[in-house]
Amino acid sequence: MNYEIENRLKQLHSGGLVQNCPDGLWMDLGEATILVLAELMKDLEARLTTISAISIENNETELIYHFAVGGQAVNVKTRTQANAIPSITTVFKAANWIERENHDFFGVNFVGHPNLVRLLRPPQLAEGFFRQPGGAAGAILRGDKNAI
Amino acid sequence: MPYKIPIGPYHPALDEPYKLTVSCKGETVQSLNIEIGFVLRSVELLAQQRNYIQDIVLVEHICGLCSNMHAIAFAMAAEKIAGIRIPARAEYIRTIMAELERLHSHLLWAGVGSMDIGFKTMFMEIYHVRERVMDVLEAISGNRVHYGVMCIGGVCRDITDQENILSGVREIKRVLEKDVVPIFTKEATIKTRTAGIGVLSREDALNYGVVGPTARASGLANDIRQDFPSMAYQELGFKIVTLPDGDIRARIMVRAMEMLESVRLIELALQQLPETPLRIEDPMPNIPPGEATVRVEAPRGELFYYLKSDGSNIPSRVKIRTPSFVNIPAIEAMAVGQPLADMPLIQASVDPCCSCTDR
Repeated sequence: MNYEIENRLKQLHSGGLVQNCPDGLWMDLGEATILVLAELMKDLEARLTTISAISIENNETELIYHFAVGGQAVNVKTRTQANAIPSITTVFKAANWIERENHDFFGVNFVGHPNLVRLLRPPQLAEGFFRQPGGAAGAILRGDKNAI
Repeated sequence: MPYKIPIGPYHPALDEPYKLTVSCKGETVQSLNIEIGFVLRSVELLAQQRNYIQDIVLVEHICGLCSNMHAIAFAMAAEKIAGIRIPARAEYIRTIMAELERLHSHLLWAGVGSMDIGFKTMFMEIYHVRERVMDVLEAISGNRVHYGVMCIGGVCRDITDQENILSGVREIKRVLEKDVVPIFTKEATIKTRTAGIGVLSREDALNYGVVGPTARASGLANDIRQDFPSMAYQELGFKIVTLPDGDIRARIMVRAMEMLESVRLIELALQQLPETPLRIEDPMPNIPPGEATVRVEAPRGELFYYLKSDGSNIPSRVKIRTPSFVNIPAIEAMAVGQPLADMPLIQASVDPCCSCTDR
């Protein structure tokens, strides 16, 4: 089963490199579209665990789609274009709140989402509250001298 | 003409602060809108501003019921990035704490569920045995809720008096076997009030991506202890509990039977506790640049952590997906077509936790 998943992921785009790590398969989506990936994962009877968002340069967002196919984890990375990406709610109902949360915290526009309204923060506040950097970069911005 | 009833965020029929807007025709629920975010604390953002040691304390305070699982998941993610293998005794103590936490969480839910059903005697009986679980947790950790046992590289408290802990666990087992499980699985009051109500079909369970006892009660053999075994579950031999019915009764029965499995795991782990150090030698290991995901089975289902390190002592990204975040939306599928009077019980049956959902 794991071999089949790996093979089908590799077929998504030419040169698709799938890394087999201790926490599952990792790959970059490359030129393939997120909807094609979603359809493939649905076909494999995968469960969408969540989407992790990370703020990157030029006001874009790196998104990692985490799936579980039985006992196999699959993590697929992609990037937004103009901070937008197609919604996968038509394929996975579970994506509804997950995409709304990422829209709320990172300002990502999930194109085609049936109800892309704020999930957790009040509508009066601006979107993208979680875009501030963490780690050492955030510590420098805050003037935190305890960071090593 | 359909009418709308707002329930919550603070309402006697809700155990947690979230808002349901129920559209009804007569007494029948036609549709449901769920709003969350009333106890948002931005824990992910805060975790990206504190060091790893402080973060263990921070994530442990996300929830009062599965606090330990948050600390375990965070520690495991950091250990995965750093390639740290923790001593066997620490794995066993983590497993014991995880199962004790499941026991007290399931018992708390069973008590609240009994109140919702109107079975107050059962509520008193369950809260009595839950106190014994809390006593055992306190005997191990010194705390009743936020245990402070986990650290990166192992655990920071040992189980020194195994016999005392074992006798406490056996007393809990006796009450579970004699009273709690038989009443929840066979008693007519509970059966008539819960059978066939709030059904979540297997197909809907898959669609909503529900996890934990909610998924297992809809026939999905989905348990992280089996699918992604960590800690000492493989050595101890975990047995999954599933039921096909998808109604409230099935969710109650899955939790009831899981409690017996938890007791079995705790007993076995206490008897086989390996004689190794509690943690690695380095009290503050460096977490090199990298990223990792971790899945653990919290009482309500899969708890997921994504951690990214830039090599500094502060994580650059912490993503937390809690089980209630995926289980709460499924209340809609359970409620449509059901009588309005069953809403308190239906929403309680997924054991929603807003501290976790909102973070």
